Amino acid sequence: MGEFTVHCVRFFNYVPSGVRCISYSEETERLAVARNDGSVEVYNFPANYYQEKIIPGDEKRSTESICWVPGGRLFSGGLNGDIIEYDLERLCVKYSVNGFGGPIWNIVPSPCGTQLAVACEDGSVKLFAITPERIVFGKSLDRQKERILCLAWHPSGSHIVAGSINTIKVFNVSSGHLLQVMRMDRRALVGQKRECIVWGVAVLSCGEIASVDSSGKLQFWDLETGTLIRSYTASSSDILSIAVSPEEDSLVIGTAQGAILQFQYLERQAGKEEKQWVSTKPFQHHTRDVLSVAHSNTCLISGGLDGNIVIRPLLERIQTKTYEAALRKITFPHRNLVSCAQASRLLLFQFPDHLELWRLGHTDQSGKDGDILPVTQEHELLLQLKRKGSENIRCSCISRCGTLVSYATASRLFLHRLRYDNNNFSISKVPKFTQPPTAALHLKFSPDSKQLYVGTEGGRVHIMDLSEDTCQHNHTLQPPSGTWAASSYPVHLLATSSDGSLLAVASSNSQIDIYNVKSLSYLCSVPQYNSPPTAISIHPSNKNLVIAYADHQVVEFSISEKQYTDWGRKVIKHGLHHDWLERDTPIMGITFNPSKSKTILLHDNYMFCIIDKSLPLPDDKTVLVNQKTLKNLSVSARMSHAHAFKITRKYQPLLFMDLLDNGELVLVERTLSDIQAQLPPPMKRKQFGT
Amino acid sequence: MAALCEELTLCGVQGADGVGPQGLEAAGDGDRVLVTEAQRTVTLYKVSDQRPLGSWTVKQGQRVTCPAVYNAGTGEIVVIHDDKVLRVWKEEDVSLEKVFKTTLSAAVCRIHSLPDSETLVLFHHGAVRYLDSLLTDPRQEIENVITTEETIKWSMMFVENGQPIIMFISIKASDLYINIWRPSPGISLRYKLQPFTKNSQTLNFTASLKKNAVSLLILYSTGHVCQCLVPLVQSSDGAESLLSVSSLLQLPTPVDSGALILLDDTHLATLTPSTEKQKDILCIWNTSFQTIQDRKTFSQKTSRQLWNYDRMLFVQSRKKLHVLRYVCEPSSLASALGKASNTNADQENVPVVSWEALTGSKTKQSKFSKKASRVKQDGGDGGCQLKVSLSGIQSSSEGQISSLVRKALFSQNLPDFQITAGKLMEGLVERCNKDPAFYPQNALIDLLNTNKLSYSLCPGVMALGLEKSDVQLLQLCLRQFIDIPEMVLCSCLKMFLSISEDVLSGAELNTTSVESYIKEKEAPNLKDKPKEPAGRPMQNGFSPDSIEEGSCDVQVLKKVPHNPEACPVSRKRAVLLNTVLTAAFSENYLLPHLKDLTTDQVILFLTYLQFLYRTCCQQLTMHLPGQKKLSITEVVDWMNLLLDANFTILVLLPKARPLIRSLQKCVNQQMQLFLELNQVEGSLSELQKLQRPCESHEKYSIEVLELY
Repeated sequence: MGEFTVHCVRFFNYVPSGVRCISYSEETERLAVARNDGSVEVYNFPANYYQEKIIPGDEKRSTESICWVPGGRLFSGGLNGDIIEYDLERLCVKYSVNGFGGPIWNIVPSPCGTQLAVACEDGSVKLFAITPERIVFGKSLDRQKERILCLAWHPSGSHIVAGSINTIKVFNVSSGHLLQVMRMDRRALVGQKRECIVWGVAVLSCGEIASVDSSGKLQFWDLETGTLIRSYTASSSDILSIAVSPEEDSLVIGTAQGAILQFQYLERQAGKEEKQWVSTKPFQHHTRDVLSVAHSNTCLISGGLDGNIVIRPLLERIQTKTYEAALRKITFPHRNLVSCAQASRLLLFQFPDHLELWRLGHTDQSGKDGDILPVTQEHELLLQLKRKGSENIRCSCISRCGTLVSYATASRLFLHRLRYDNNNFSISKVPKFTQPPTAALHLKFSPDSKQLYVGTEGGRVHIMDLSEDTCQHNHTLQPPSGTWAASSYPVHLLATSSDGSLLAVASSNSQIDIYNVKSLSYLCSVPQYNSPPTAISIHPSNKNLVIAYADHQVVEFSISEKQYTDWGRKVIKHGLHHDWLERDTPIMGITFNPSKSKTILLHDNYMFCIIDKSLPLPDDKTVLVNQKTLKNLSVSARMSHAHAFKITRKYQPLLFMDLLDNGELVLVERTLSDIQAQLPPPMKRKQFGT
Repeated sequence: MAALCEELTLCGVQGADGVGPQGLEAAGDGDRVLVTEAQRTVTLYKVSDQRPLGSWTVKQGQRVTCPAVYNAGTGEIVVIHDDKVLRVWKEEDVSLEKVFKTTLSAAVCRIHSLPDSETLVLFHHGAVRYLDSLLTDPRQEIENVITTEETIKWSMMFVENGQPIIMFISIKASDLYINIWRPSPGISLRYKLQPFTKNSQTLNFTASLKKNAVSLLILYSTGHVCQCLVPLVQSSDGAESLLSVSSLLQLPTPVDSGALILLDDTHLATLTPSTEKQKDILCIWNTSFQTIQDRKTFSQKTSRQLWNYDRMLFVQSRKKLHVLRYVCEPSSLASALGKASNTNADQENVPVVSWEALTGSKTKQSKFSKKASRVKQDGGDGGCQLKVSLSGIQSSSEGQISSLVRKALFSQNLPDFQITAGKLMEGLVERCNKDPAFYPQNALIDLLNTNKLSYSLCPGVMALGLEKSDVQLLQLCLRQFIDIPEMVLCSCLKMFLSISEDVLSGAELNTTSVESYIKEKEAPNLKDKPKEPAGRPMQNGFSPDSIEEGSCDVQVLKKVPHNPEACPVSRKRAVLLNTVLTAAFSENYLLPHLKDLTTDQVILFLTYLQFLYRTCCQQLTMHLPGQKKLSITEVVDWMNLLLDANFTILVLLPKARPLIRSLQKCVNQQMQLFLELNQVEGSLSELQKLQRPCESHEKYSIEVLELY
């Protein structure tokens, strides 16, 4: 049925950047994640934790702290001393304000969202008023000697608690005066570490301060008197982060050993009033330091230096104990970092600061299922292209024929032409190049490499005309007024038809528009769905658009008839298999096999699937992943057992899938152990028996 | 298995001899009780400290008419004096005169309080009120629930699903009525209790809550303990229904007064006059097996009152209030019978209800005896056989006996063969005991080989075997009986350890199981073994005999550590010891008996155990060959027990020192080895983790994939 020669690519050295800080907003149910490379990601929790926005980083800025401010505004502060507000519609920095206090270690909005407290290297805590347009410096609290590393507001907004080296300080917000200084117990540290660094503080509405520090202690202090109430030695290593649930009945801490621990405020004895913080659940989902934790109403969220984001739902707070209660570990981005020149067998890998161009190998043999064929021509690295400037690469693309490579940073678009004559390979910039009017968010070459489609803010697509040595802005496709006017969402995905006549443009609010690029006219829109699309593709022959959504739905839309196809309706009516709906990661790529028009090829991180539209859809009673059983059956018996979803988990984690023009399949794998090997070494821990 | 543990005296009791305290109630946490005595005084005691925490007395002329109770909800003590006057006070209050007082409109019978429920007041005429409602309106009208001729004899409170239930028994002209009161919607049920026999008088009651029913136990003057299930749901017709009682237990003699109390589902304590004058006896019964689990005799009359709180029994005797702690564990048949068949225990005049007695007598009312008597009445094959065999046993010669037994064995498949075999065995044992010259070994072994017998069916046979030093018989018993009491097991062990080689060599024992690891040529070692006659104990490891053989002893014990590889016992003895090692036992009960072993026996046994352990370790096996596989854990368990029981003696004894030292060395070596193994395991498990990614380590490959 589906026999492929598979290029199994494991030389994509992708290493996720470590998570520096996270912030969860109950208001919008979004998680903001800032990584060590300066990039900021926004995850949409209701939509299966889909990574809906990525703002690329910049070498010049490093993020130390990120926070949501009511109204869905996102701020961050970093070691360059700037406070940055992000533009989540244009996916870039909206503005930055210098704090004039040296590197910023922490920024925290006040409980009512009107002020932003900033912890500075010079020992000052600065308050900025948040206005609808910008932030405006308000005042500084009493300046201290030591750097301030962490901050917390009293839930009433009356006090600010600041963690520093060896001390915790309490300020009165209205007067700006220092009220209390609490000194950490350093006796235990004599000889090992001289300083006890307070890595995190939190204030409870009852007036208790919770602090975590480098001696591995979780301590509770009285805000009024400045006395230590309770102390828990929770870890033998540093405790780096703390977060308290909105109800203040549970808190979570993250340690340098990769463990997170939950403490709950529980009754000492059943039926008695008296309550106490009790260490209830330890989790070890990370291998490196957990630099940041967050506590939503229903789950614990942690981000570690190993690049993983772990969402651990709390079973006692979730009604349905099935799919929602499962642990989520997000390791890989939900967008493609790889593009493929199908005609010339090239792969373009995107890294934050460079691109790599590889040529795939060759084989002259064929075999049967499971065979590993001898490679006659080895794969080779053709090009390593360093980005220009300090900004990280946001997106990249290679043309089908492999002669054009384009990439974009937050502010600029770059286009290079590649030439291959026999064994010589050369690269040159396109000389006459005009920048598109607005920043590029998504790139796609037309199949004939004559045009470059640049997806940008507001759902618009710039069409750049390309010739041998020019690149000029030709036209901008505007979404029809009415559909986009209310809210301007950036372009999220682009798909072209193989004949180059159609262009599908998807945005993260699940608006999908289809344009005729020959006549530069709007054709139609797909009925809007309530989940963001994760992959779209247009069938080469019948021009049907296949869309995968974050809630794992797959639909087929006929562009010519401007409605869902019969098969698409059948899928919607029949419903998908529950195992399919309970997958962990979104569909990241869809492609078609031109020789078998009835099939759709798609993949997520952990499976590769061929949907055969001619076969019946599986119902919940049948086994979804049945390839192993089918393999052992006779050909006739297979027919009765086969269903439309042909899934293999042989290759995982899968980052990219595409079909070359000669029908060979390219799968890009990145094993977790390879990533582990490239991460910085974990904290050494003596394990018994080793 | 239930047993009485330590005993302590809580306090002295005022009043005449044989008159106990008026009432005893738990007060808050399990360690405190509230004692009402001499109609005047209420005292709060802390039991573990044996000291009073507070004491309150009513004024001269007033009379406490209802025992004080502790209201756990409020932490207050409530008492009624002069029938109608209610007083409520806290622990801190000093004088009873200054505390809250109110007078009720009717005479109170009892106050009931349970920790997880509100306090209830039961009036003389059967009405029940919440204490709280009485406190708010003390003069409220109290209706009559029972007629004025009736008097309340006994009452008890339960809590079911958070709702209180009060059950009280009223008596009207020798008719007993059971009344049940529940709060909502004010249901009260009334049953009439059928008299057990014509002339029986009820002496005491106790009850426990079962699902939807109360199990009421009644002690009758005939010595019967009867059970009556009182349903808590209203029967469809409103009429007064008649409840019948069923016999649960028969005390040995009729009693004129007594008390009983439930300890748990299966255990019951009775306090009854002993057959001896002026003595009372407290027994703990297992009701499911009808056996006495433990007993205690009081040298003087008690007040025949029993209270039970928090695993403590309270008994008044000799003007003192005694507290007896007890333990109740779920019983197995074997452990239940263990104590009962303890023939060596002081021969108290309490006949023990055992299988022996049950199968023989017709008069017993219990279900077991019914079954047994039915067997007889059936007159089936088994029954006939039994009669014939039994009459023959007492007179026939040994040869006739074996043919008799063989004949009896033909009916092996009959359902009641087990009882037949038991009777036969008991008959034979009885004859043997009477006539020392008579010992039909073959017949006994034939009977044992049927595999139908157990220790409790024929308790005499092992005693006989011990007496006759018949190791073959004992080995068979040890293999087949699963319910051997630990004491008998220990007696067997003692005999096996000390029996002379000459007797052993004459016994027919199968030694194939030990041949693989014990070499026979080492047997000469055994000649040096202590040759003292079996069963004669040495005191503190010293006996006059061993002075003569002193040099010999030293020789043996020096040899042992020199040659640890050699087996310290002969093959036949090893086989016998292995049988003991594989027998079932309970550590707690075995431990005290192991202390009775002489030091030489301990050392020999320990040496043998060490040898077995070494053998196991050398062969890297967890089991040694044999019919019942002897496992290394059993060996280590026994070693532990033996060391536990005799450790102080072994430490002090110079001749045991080399053995202890070599044992310690051996253990240390093993610990070292396992530590190393642990490390190896750690490393190997890492290897396993590494194995998986190895499969696809190539950076690039071209493969063929086919999806069907």
